[in-house]
Amino acid sequence: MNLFSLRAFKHICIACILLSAQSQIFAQSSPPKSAKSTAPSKSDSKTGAKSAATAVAPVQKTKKQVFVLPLDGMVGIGLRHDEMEQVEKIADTFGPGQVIVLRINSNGGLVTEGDLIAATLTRIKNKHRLVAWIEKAISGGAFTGLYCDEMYFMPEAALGSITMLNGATREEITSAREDWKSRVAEACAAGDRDPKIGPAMVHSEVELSYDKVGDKVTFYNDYKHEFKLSDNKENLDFSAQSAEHSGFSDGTAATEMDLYRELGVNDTTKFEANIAGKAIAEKWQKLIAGAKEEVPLLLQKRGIEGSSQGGVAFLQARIRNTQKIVDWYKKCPAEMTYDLQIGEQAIEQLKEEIVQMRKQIKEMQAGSQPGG
Amino acid sequence: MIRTKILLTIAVASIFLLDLSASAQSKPATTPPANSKPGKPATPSAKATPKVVASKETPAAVAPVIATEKSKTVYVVPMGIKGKGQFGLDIHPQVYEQIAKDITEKRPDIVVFVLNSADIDSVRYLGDDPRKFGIFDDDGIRKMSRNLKEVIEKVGAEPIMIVRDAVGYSALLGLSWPNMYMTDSARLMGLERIQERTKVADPEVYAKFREAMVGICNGFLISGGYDPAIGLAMMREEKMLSASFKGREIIWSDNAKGTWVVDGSTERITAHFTSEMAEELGLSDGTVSDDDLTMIEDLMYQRGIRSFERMPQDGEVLVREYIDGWRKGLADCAKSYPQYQEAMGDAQGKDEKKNLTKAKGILEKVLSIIKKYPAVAIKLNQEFGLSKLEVETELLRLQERIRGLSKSTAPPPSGGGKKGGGGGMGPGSSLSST
Repeated sequence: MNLFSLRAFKHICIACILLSAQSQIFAQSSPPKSAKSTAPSKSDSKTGAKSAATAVAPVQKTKKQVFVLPLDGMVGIGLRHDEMEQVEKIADTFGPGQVIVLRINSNGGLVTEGDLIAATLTRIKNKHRLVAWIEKAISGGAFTGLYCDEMYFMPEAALGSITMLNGATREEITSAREDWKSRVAEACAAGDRDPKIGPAMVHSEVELSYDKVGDKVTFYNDYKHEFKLSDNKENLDFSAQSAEHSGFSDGTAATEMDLYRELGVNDTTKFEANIAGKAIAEKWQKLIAGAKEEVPLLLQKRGIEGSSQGGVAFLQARIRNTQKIVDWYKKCPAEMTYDLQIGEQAIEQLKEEIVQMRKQIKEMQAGSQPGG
Repeated sequence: MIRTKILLTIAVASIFLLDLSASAQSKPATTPPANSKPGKPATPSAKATPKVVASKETPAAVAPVIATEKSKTVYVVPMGIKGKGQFGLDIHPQVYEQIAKDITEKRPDIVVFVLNSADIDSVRYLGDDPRKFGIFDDDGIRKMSRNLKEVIEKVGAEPIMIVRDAVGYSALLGLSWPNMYMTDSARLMGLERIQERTKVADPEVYAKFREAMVGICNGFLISGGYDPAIGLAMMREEKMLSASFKGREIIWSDNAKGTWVVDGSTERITAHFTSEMAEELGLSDGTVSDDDLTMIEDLMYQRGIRSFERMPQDGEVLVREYIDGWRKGLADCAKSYPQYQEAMGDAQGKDEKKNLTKAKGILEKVLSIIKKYPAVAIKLNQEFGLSKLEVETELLRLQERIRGLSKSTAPPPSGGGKKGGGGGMGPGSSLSST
């Protein structure tokens, strides 16, 4: 396996972006202050995330906590390992064996983030029950789902199309193909799925079909067996139907309640829904939406605010608006870099500009003072 | 409608004759049973369709004809209205969030969606205005659809979809509900539009994009209980589609080997359905009248519901209000541009501040419309190249200029800001062409 080419590829941070760039980003690492628990059990529900935020030792709880973490958007921006880690920390405070559901809705994204996600999920599932609930998992979204031992699809869901491409040229990174096929096969194996499945999602020439006898499913990398999934011109994508029939998924669940029933966590005497995951996701999504809304306007404001007054007033306004852009970068660098096209280099330039403007103000102020 | 009523009469009359055994079900392949969608459980109402074979299996389905039956409340939800059915704009999640709340409050027995959204009038997208084509935000539409399904299930209502016309991405909505009817002249087609989203030179990336799009779109069909082979043939020109009949079950295949070939070509043809084909193939549950006045009545009759009452304040009120609202908003934005230009032109001399303030007021109104209706924002961008950011930026410039005028002692600007009369929103200048 030629790891070198893949690593080199990752280092230059080529974005594996699918259909349309989605949005959404990043992470405070502190647990949500106001997170509370709700159904399945509504009783004893305020101990969840709130207590977890401050707890050091595991909280004694009789009910297992069920977390749903919605992961929406581009991998590396909206769908990140950071939020998974935040939920992990909270779940840890309840002891091992909590239930963490990742609700995935993504068209894919940054390959580099995939490595971080893989490491995080591998660690989480050693302690807790990890479930993927697929709304849409394309490319990096699918890669994320593969690491979960249990997987459920929503009826409308699609999962697959993991070919690695250069987001700028929209061409496959052929030099990384074989490595990537191995990586995706490993991801399948990590989730206790047949590694033959993964490569068919990466390279169209890899075929996939299967036989089913009773509940026993056997996959083949050809197109000869009874149930055909992908021919030699297609990139494998599972639907809820094909995933369930082939045993790739554990079932189909349209709503959270359906999912709880499928998972057997709907017994309110034993399980309790903890909203910490949703609160964490909401906070993050709100933040990146804020960046998307505010930063383009701040860029305009830099040239406009204070311009009617000129001089120091203009420079002060420009410093203020520039600093806000720099602050946004600190909060959500990936959103700024990939969605708003303001990368690290641009931020360094803006910082330098602030320094220069401050100097300019000092000089102007010194110049306007009477000499002595 | 007359045809279906006659059929229903035959169906009812035949119940006692035909309810004998499954082996007696030999029937021509061209008249498949209505209730043949894979994974779609038989519902009493579905079985009440006016088809002989359907009714023979379900004698209980005629129960609704009993005069003492409680009148069912029917809540109608248009998805597009005649001439105003642009997918992604007239059919936008914004209004269906309201609809979902309204259904929760009113708790009808039956919710009837009436889909009327055609990108085009010609079959091959030739000579039609692309600005009128639907806009597909798969996440938004999927969430909208899921939300409606969830709400309808919660209130215990029965959902029914009537397709009046569905050409383009709207066909996905038509096929995302298990109980689907079409009106006499309805079309269900146009999913080849996904090809716009998958055009890329690299064959591997093309396969990745294509399968992802097909998977995303087919999700709508699967959630409605339809075979994904149907969607595949509707989206991919090289895919074929045929149907075979095994007893009451219809087996769809992505080849031309079935008894009924829908699309036998591997070339530039995608599967498409008229109401007649859809009914005969069991894709739809039946065909109802095109006439607005009798369509719902016809539907209820076919479903064996003799006593129903359409709710007076149903989804039609909200949808019409929304469609009229955003379209008026767009027209207002277009109309306000010459006024804005005039104010900017007059913004000099002693009236400079007054006219700048007027121009600012006009832009604030445009911005408030954009914020109120996402559809207006989409359309302004699509038709005039004008974004919300550009309006906001121009407002900032105007504010700054007004502030400058207020400070008579202010020094001249230095660097960065643009100042000057006339001009304004560059890209928006095309607004004047409307």
